[in-house]
Amino acid sequence: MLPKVTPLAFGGSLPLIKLICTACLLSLFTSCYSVRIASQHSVPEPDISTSTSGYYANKKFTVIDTVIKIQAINKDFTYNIPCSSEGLYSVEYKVSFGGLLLSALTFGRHRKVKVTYVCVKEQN
Amino acid sequence: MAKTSTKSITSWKNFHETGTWPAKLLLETQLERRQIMPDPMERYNDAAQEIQRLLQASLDTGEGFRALGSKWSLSNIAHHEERMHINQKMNLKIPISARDLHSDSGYDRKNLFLLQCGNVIKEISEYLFDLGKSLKTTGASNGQTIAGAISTGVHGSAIDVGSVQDCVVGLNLIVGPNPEDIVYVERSSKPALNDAFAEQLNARVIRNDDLFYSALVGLGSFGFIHGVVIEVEDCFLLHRHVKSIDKNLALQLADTMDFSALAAIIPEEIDQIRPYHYKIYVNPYRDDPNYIVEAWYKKPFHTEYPDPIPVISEALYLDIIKCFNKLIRSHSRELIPRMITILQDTAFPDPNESLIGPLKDLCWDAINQGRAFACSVGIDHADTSRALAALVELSNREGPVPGIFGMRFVKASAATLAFTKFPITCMLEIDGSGWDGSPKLISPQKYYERFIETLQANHIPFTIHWGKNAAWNFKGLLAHMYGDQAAQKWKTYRSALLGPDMAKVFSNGFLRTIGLDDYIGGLPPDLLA
Repeated sequence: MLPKVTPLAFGGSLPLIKLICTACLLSLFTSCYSVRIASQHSVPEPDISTSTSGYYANKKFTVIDTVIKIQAINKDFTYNIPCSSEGLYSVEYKVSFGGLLLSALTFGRHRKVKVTYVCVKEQN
Repeated sequence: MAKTSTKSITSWKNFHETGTWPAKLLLETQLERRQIMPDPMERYNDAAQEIQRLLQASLDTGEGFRALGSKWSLSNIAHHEERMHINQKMNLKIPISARDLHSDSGYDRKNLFLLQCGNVIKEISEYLFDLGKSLKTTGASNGQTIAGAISTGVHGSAIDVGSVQDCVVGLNLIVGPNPEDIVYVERSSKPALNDAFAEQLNARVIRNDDLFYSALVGLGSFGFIHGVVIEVEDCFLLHRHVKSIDKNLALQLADTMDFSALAAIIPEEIDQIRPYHYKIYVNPYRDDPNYIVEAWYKKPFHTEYPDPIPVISEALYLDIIKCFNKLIRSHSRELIPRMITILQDTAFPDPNESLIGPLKDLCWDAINQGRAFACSVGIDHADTSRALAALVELSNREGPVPGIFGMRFVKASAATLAFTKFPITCMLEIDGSGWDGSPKLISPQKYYERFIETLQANHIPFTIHWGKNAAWNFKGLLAHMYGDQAAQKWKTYRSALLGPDMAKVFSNGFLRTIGLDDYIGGLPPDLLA
């Protein structure tokens, strides 16, 4: 016969569950971050027709959100983007828990890529 | 050919998210590609034709037309409920050659450039820097278009220089769809370029001081500013000192513009004690014995200076306060002063900070941090102490509002409706996070009204920054700020230049609110001679 689970017994294990949940949440948060690299003397390609807030306000930005396959023998991957010869203004690389999980489950063969970039405004 | 794309919209909001207004159509013009049309002047004139086509379309549909700039203004000066034009990709930069100079010109042609309307301050500064040149002044940041900056009177704190518009020597305006509607306007008293230059723009020349000064701060309503001829200077460096000084001294310097007392505080500048730039920061909710001040000194250019941008980009100032938007909207009368005081040390520049760099790097990028507000008045510098005391008292008695005061000082502009109209104007500003009124907290509109009433009650003459928040519908505001004569002159020259149909096309709600949209008929035909 299975032991009866009393509310008290369940309540007694609650701190441990809370602790595990908190640890999971914290690891989710800490494994989710972004790094932005920007050219301090360049001018971003403008887009003032939209109402984006924050860093990308008034900037024309493109988001690459895809999964790439990396062969075991390759250590890098090049993703070409159509900026003019003026080049890139900024690149933001986001690392997410889901992306890390995907990489772990596929032994690094599939990598989630989430990059936001802005080209430099064409000079005339 | 230059091409214009269109986008139907129902509403529009500005960069600082101070409001959302109904709107119908966004137009965006892009230059012909360099590979197709390599000659810059040919592309410039090609773009002019495209603008004229758009103006004809506005006339045909009976709709208004307004150039947007970078939509940085916090007021609705850039808004039009019908057609708004984006011109940031119209960014040609053309040096002036010796053959373009007027025979009576006193300008060095190496310091003159024709800049197309959509150039933003940052790209102009970087372009000039590569040529060993610099703008004489800019705003505190660098994202405005040149046409937007001059139209709204953008200023820094260049005590003996003035505002951005004060460096303009010629204006290329498109005032309608016909060939004679492209004009090049400059002063008759100080001509810069010759008729042959204007012919290159397919423009008729008007040399008329009153027209030039009226159109200079034209509020986006003196036709389409296609390009400006601007005077620049050789690159220079600015040494920025930040000090915490006795507040009475900080205000005495402002009231008198006598900076000799700074010699004891910044002894390394003893040979040149009047700064290029002076600014005071004030937390209205704390009675500090000291104020933080900035004094910038102009230095000859050299390349051996540490990069100032890592420090400038970390200067949080008010941005950190804007990050607390949601907290501020909790409508707590107690929270706002406490929060501003807690954040003060982080929000103000670090006292005893000293750095050096070119103007373009000290007045660097501003990032959108959500809804902002800024209320900025121009007063005679001699009234600085009185005005600050009155407005701090207002903010404590009837506020609080989530902002910090700053004061900058700018040489008078000759532009007819320049808000920097006093010999040295103190631009006294409170800015911070946008907020909503509540039964417990004064509403923004009420605060803006009380701002005006407080200055009036204290008999302090003032103007208001065209691109900032204000009670623009305050009764008699325009006449109170500028007198009847200046406003009448501005309307007269606008009417003479545009004619009735185009005056209507280039009017908007802001112009109507302040009472500058009237067309004045029956003017003498030689007014623009």
